[in-house]
Amino acid sequence: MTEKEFIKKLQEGRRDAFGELLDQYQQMVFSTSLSFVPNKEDAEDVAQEVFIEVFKSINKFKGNSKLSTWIYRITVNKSLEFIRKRNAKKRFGYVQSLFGNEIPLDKTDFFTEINHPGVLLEQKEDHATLMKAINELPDAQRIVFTLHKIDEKSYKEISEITEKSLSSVESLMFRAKQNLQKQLLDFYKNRDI
Amino acid sequence: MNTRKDMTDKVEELLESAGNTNEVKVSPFFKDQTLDRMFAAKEELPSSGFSWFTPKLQWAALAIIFLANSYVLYNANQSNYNEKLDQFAETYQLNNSNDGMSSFLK
Repeated sequence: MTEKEFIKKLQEGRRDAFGELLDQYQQMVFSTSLSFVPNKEDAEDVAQEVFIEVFKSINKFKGNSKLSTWIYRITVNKSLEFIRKRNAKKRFGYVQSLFGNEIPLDKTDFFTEINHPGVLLEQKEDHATLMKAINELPDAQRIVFTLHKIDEKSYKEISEITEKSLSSVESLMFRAKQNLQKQLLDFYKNRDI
Repeated sequence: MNTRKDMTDKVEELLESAGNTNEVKVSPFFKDQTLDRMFAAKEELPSSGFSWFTPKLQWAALAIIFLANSYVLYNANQSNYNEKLDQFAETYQLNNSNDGMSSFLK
């Protein structure tokens, strides 16, 4: 069955077609979500949102890109949406606590409990430090760095997912690395003082 | 205390090791749970019968309502003017029966 035929089945809303879609893409979507949201439960929630969005929007898919690229794009958007919502919730909780409202304040400085099951115990602290630094990057740099360094996508794949030119992707990656180096150096300096 | 070089090396090492994670398998229940959520959402979709009334049509309808209202308002003002003129003519007995002034007014 060609991709076109498969998409047609999906557009007809057939359960067996969506079952096949999940078989093919659930691991890929979950892994990418986990690269952005380093917590298994949260990453699964994001992955579920991705498939529901695919289900709702499949009739709008015109086939201008590969199905996998389109699904990656939705995964990146849903992951960032999750992070934005969580960060906003944290800020709201902080402001409420300033006004003395009894909202339990989560004092951690990250949007989720960092608990990536694929990270070895001795690397957990370093991984958490890196994730917090990535959380400070602008969205465009964060996407490129996460997809390239954590999700191990090539620049070409990232360029297709983000619909940016190859040179823009390289430039974003360069700036992301520079910003992270600066942030992490500051972090280690302050920790040593 | 660490030297700057040590810290720079540590940062480089950290950036290079970003992808050093073992693959984590998605939960075995993920597929069924997701399929159930997808198709439950499909059944819950309210079929209000207004799905054809797209945002473009909504804007067009709003524009037509606005134009129709403007037209009616304009005409209402016009008829009020004529009514007042008739009342005035009647009050001062300038109606058609006394043709002198009324023909002058017209």
